[in-house]
Amino acid sequence: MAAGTAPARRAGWVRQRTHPSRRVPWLFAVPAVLICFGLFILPALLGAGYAFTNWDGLTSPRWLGFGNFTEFFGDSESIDVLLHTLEISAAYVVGVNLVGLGLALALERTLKTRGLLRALFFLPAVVSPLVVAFIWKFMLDANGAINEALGAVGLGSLEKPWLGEPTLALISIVVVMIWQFAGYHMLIYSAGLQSLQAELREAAAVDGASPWRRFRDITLPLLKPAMTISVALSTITSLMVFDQVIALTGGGPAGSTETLGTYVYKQAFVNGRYGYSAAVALLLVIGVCAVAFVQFRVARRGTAEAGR
Amino acid sequence: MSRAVKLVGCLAALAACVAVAVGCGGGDDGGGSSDSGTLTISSYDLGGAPDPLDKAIAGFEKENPDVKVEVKRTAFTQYAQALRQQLSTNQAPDLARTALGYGEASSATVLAEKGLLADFGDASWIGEIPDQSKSSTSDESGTFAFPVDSSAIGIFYLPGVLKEAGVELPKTFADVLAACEAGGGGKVVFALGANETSGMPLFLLDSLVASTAYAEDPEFGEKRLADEVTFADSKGWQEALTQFEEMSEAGCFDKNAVGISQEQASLELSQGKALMAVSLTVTLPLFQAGKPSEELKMAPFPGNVDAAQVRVPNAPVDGYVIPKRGGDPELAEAFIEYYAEHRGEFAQVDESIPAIPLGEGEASVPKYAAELEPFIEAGKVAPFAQNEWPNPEEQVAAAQGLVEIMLGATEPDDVLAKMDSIWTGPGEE
Repeated sequence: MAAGTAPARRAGWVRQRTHPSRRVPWLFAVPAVLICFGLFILPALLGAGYAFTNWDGLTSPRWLGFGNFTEFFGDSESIDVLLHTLEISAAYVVGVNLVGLGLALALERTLKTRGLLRALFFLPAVVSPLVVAFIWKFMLDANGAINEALGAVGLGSLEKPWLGEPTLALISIVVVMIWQFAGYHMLIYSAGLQSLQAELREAAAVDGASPWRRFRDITLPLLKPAMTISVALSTITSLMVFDQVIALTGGGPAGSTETLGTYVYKQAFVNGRYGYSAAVALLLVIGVCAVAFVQFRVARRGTAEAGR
Repeated sequence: MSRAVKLVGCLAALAACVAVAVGCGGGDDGGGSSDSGTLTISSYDLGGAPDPLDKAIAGFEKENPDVKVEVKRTAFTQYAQALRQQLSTNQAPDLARTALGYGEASSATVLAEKGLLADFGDASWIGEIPDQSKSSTSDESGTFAFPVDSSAIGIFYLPGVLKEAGVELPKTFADVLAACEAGGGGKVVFALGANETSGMPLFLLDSLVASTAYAEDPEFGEKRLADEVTFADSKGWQEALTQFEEMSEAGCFDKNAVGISQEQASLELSQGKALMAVSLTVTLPLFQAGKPSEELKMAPFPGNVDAAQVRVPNAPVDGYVIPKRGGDPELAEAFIEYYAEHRGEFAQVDESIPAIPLGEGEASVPKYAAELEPFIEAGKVAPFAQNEWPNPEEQVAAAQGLVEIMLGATEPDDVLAKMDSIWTGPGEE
């Protein structure tokens, strides 16, 4: 029996000898993993725990179970907040991807100023969203630069309370977001366009396909991987929108531009309802993860089909 | 590398993580100042405006050479959150400045109800607190706040601008509407910043309910707290919101008022683009920032068609509290004793009015608001309504309701119904 187990032991020994060498890279990662766990994962888990309590930030929390979640879904105000977030998200995702793709296509042709234009379009994306939003607020205010300029050129009838009327305020937020991040998405699409095989499009052109046909049947399907990334990133950005709303409208007028991000902030830091705020934040995280997961699955399937 | 060395390495990394995490949570386990010779005060930053606290500290330190006073100042807009954070960790100051009454999540009464504030015991100034202010500073268990200054709400105006526009100060609410309908000679009649962060719509609401709901029943606030009345069933509240709607429809405000900030509206008045603005006395610096061409004045806002029913909202607005977690309550009490004793001297620094009157014949409002004085002396005053709302969401609902009325998106009755629907009494959740 001892003789019979010896080869197995040896085999085990061999495995043990090879495994430590494989584990070395993982051991190098341990400090970073622990720091990430301590500074990100653990606080997030603790925060998620508060979502099931009535914690007010001052006294000991009391367990509520799913009370905060049922309150969220049973309250018309929070449902409005959810709808505003989805409206901003839908408009932003469509807008920023169309503008980004348009810019990428426009700058695909050989231009002397192509590099400069790409840099200029990308520039707003590296500035803090809060700073950008405050600059736009200065322009969009009732007595701001845009209305002043319209009045100065005799277009006073077009002066609007850009941030003081619910629908206009929502549109203004989306426009500011698109203005800032269109250049970023242009870069994603530009990278996608550069990876396309020029021969395919050239062959289609030789065969007499119109520019629109070439774009619709060749460029667009082959851009799906870039589009997937761009749509997923813009969806996540828009669902978590906070800076632009706080700086431009503060969620007003009358809560008409309140989003989940600003709602979470106000519930915690204005109303002192940290437990409820944590519950809404948890819902937001779950929602963002779910949307991102579905988008990647759908896109992967699409990419695989395109590959076939 | 031996297993033992790896294990030690891993444990060291884990210990470092824990140390970092613990460090993030504060860790000054002394709580405020453990040294009895150091007093820590938490206050908000007035953005360069003169602060009576500085003078009080200098005087206190001179009188007590062994004591060092340290002030932790936070930007005004961040202060409520910062104070809550300090109180919930081991960083509680010995003394903290905060709003009185309810209204905000870190207001004195809210903190006292959670058992976070110490009792001032038998301090000498307690007996001098006016009866109408006691609900903001004390409860059945004792006195939890020292009220610093008192504020009133009225109409800011520039006499010359008003005269030039041929508009007289309104004495009744009918005069208000008449002035708005007359158009104000091309100027905005009432500067009103009604964006999300502005307090001006609520100041106007306070002025309206003072002369309606509170003129009818001065105990309305206490009765609402006891759930004996509701907003929707109160004729005074219905009237106040209807009057607000009438002002909006009569063109009293800038057509873009909903998108205008408090600062912008204040500038409109001080630069002569608007005739009047309803605001708090403590917001004077916002108006002065526009460098008005003449001295600003303040008059009562007539929130009733009957001049005899007009009331002026006047109440203590902020004060000092001693957090139970603070390190040196005796020193904090000593400082407040000193402050109370010299309050008249300190009030001169920012032209404020001490919430505890200095004595008979002393002014109850700043000089520019002398027109409010007869009302205050006659007891024709009312509290700030929102100081009696235990749930901070109530204030948000009222402010949003007013904006919705301006946008034509809701009716006064619906606003009142919503305010009742989200009402939670003291201590409820």
